Amino acid sequence: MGRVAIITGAAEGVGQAVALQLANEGAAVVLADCQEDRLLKVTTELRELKHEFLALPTDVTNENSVMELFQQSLSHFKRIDILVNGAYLCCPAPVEDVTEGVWDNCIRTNLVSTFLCSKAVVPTMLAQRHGRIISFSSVDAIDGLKNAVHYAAAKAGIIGFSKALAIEVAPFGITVNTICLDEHSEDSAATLEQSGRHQESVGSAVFLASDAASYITGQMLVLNGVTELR
Amino acid sequence: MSTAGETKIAVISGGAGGIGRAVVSRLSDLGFFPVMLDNNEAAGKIVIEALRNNGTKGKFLAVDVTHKSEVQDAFNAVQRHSGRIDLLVNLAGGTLHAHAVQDFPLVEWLRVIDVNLKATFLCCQAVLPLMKAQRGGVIVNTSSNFGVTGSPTRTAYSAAKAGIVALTRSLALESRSYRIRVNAIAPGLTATERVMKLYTRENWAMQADSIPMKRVAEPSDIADGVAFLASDDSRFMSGQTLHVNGGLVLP
Repeated sequence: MGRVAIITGAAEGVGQAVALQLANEGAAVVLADCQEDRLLKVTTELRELKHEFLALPTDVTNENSVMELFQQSLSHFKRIDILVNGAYLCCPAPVEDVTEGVWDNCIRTNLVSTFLCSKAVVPTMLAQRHGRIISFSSVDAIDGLKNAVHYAAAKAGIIGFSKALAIEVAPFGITVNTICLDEHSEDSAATLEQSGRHQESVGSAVFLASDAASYITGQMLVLNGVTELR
Repeated sequence: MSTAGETKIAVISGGAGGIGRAVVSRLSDLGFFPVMLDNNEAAGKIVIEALRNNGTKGKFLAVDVTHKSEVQDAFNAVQRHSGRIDLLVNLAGGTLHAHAVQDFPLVEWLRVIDVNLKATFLCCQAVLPLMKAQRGGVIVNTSSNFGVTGSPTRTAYSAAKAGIVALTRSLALESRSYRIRVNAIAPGLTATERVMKLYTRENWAMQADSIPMKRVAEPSDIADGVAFLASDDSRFMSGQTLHVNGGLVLP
């Protein structure tokens, strides 16, 4: 396949699941995460499967760290076809307990990281006249959620950001889409393990990364698992 | 349909149209046995011929999908023959008539609603008992960006396509405990003969230029979206509308 994908938040959860699937389908993957020990575990699995990969400890809220991630990836693989913004942080708290620090941390990890990574990858994708940017949002951005004003705001920000970027880069063969996950639904929690739920979203991410989705941009796929609810 | 039980059966209403042909061909490539319901028998024969040339098979049933009894008979025939229906794709529809609202004859307005919205309802209604008995199935309906944005002179078409979004959501909730997924696809401006002949060459180029991706959709783009919604890759998606429009509308 020869595609190169960078996945942030790749050490666990949905980022990890998407990274493994893209690798299984033949893409070279760059795994970025701030949790070095967890990252090591994922790379062990990739090595056993003989996949082509790089694992780069990264602070996605820091522009210098992000620039380094993209420069190293580019110098190693010579191109970047896919960016998956999977870095994610959710610390539920009632609004009166959301200090400025908690707010900033949530906005930075979820939203600002998406901006910084997209900003870093766009020049490469523009030069290639091809690219796929896929970011993970949440149904909480649409429906709201108790004790999650900061999280809902950050995740809604990802949707707005992605739509605007989609229009900006659409003429150049770059698509930008979001996947809204349902992380908190009691119904889906009752029927699916955490890892299973992440697995449910992998197919959609891989589809958006594929040639089959070349005319889909600025859209969000809402994965609320309605058929899985009982 | 000799391989019933192994081959997945797909029923495609409007399967002989421009998008329909691409969807039928794509589903056939994926191993589905396509059954087309369409009132255009001549076009249907061409699709069957194309499948045969490709070494596969399909079936064409001449059906007016706005007539309940014809729809029911068609689904009964498919069920008798194949025993199951795994996928229903409702593609039948079209703008048909466009007038300023004060000039829109009621009979034409209702015809647009029937061909788009009622046909979708009738086909869903006909397939659901079988899918419920199977405890599984996938339905893909066809909406449009006009269902979100509206369009001058297209009050009927826009209303029908918005109706399909709401019908899709309701049906997804209604049938969720039977493991039946119901989603819609919303194509943007698509290069089919029927649509292209409405534009001059110059006008068509202007339309394409007004789309963020600077091109119109090919029928294969829409077929790719339908194939995704029909596949397990979208198994956690139901009640949703997938817009395939090059960034034209971002709902």
